[in-house]
Amino acid sequence: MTTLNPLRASARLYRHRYLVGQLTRREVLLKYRGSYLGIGWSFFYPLLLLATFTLVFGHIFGARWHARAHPAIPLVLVMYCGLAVFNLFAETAAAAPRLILGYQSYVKKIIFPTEILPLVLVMSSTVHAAINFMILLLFIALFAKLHLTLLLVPLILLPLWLFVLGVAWLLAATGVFVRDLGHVMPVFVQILMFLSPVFYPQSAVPASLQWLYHINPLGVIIEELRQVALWGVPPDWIKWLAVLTVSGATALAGYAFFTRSQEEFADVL
Amino acid sequence: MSSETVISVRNLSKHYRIYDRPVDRIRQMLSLGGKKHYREFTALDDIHLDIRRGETVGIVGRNGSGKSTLLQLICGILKPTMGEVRVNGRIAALLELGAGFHPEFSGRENIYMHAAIMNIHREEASNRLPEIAAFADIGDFLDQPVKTYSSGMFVRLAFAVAIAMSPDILIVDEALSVGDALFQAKCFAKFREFKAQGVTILFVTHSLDLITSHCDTAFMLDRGVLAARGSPKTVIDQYRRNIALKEECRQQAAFPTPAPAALEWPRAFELNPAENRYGSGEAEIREAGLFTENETPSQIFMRNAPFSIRLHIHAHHDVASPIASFVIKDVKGTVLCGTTTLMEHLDLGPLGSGKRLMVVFRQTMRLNPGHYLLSVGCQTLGEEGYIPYDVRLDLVAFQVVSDGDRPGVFDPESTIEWRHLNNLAQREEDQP
Repeated sequence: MTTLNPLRASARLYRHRYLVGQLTRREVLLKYRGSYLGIGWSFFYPLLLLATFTLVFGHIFGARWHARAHPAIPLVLVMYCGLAVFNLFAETAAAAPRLILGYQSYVKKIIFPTEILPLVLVMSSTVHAAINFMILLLFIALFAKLHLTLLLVPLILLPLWLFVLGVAWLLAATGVFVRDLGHVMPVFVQILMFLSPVFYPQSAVPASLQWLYHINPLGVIIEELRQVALWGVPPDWIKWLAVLTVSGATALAGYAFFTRSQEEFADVL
Repeated sequence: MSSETVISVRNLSKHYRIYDRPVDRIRQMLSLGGKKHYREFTALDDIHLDIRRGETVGIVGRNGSGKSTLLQLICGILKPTMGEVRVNGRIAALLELGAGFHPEFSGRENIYMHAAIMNIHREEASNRLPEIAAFADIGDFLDQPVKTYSSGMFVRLAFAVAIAMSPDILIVDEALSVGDALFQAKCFAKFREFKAQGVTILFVTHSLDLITSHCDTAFMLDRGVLAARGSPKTVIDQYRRNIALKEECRQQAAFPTPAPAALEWPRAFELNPAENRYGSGEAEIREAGLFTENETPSQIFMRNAPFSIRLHIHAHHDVASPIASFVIKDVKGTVLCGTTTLMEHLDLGPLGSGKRLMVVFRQTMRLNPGHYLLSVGCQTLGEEGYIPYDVRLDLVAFQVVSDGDRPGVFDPESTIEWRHLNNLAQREEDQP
């Protein structure tokens, strides 16, 4: 099947790079249009979140959590690593099921490559994620140590990006046919947040439940990110390769599923 | 597909599945073959058509006849259930007013976005921007959010953008009807320019005169079937006939040819053998014709001379309130003028079975030299519009002659005053 050829799929998407860029720009602008702070909200939101974490986890839950965390690193940063990764997923997964519904006139009334819409969604989430990671970098520089392994962060995030993209394609296509998905996903994302090592290290999980964390790509990526970004430890390359394979397969499957079902969109909407 | 054929449609069918309940859709997905949980609706059935480069094609049909579905299939927005559509060239489509425009963004920003969708990059779009702005002619609104636009401004911008993208094929669905007359004229001037450049234009409209005056070919869709194709005039006539007829009187009115002796003015006119006649037959227009000022039948008239149109109606049943009408068309089929006794607020009264009625319309021939066709009708007004008793389309051809040519279809009968204005002093003298 031609749609499962990654080169061909990439070439098809690459052809629309200008349009993807324009649409992404529009989505990012649109999010803050009319608000006084504009794109500033992308900075303020994580900062407010960090402040809240410091208060709640550092001072209210404080003592108990410190015992498990790495001594030299503020716990807030450990959690922020998890949150930065998870937010990219959460933002995309919550919006994807209703994505195509929101672009109905693009599907039914103009000649438009709908397969780029999930990509645009992921790109605009990526812009917000990039801001999150910049803030993370700033705080690492201020409150921890800048390790050389930080340079590996983009490599660690590559599987995350592919995974999120695949999920976006899958959910966007399914959401057209099963509208309930739009209601289910926000709840599911919440559940997944607590099942991923966002607010706690994976080592805190009892041995009997560890398997749950090995099959969750988000969990693996969060842990890897903490290793290279906070603790200056090179990643477990075998694990990385495994996650990359799973993510790549997710992206391809998502793309194939989307392109196969997109012909039906105009009939169903 | 020859290089001259830009759109080729073969065996094209489109069915929709109608699910009575949402749960039926899921049951259908889960069932492997076997039971059908949906009803099938055929939007288009086995359509064949070819459209050549540079052709202007009009599509007519009643609401729900499948016109928009056909355009969407040609654009590749819908997937055919059966058959195939092959398109050779870049399409610009105006299927719905302002589709793809984002209300929060300005006209200018939306132009760039539309260009991007057509794969035209910023630089190129910037080059075309003055042209778009000039055609849309919405002034400072170009930098206002599109949500503040009137529907007229919307269509101007949408149309300006579509034509500026230098398409090979332009597809327009009804959108033009929103624009004002001036803008429509501008659009059709552009259409002619496009046509000269070999751009293929495909449009759907309910304004039949636009089709007769601008199209090379017309198609008529009727309940998903391609019911007629050919010259705009033939197709439009058939369409008019279709919409005039209700189901029960769809059959051709069959009247015996009357013996010449029974006629008031036998063999006075050369009748059109290809006249298009229909109606229920409760009343019959046995004869109709044109007469000069001194009451002689004629098919040639001087411009600006008085003339009359006469209808000779026989009732075969009791008819309560018959209406007599006439319409004059040019040879392309565009309706130029006409009236009915109803529009003139005349009541012809009831007409008993077997009774006869003569109706005479008197007027002056304002039409410019040329060839024209007279259609006459006898109808009554039902709850859903006119019910035809006997309608005879293009019954008689006639010609108008005059001493000199004028542009257009009718003589404005101008009276002209003039004087030389030689110097300023004199001009000031003119001021009151």
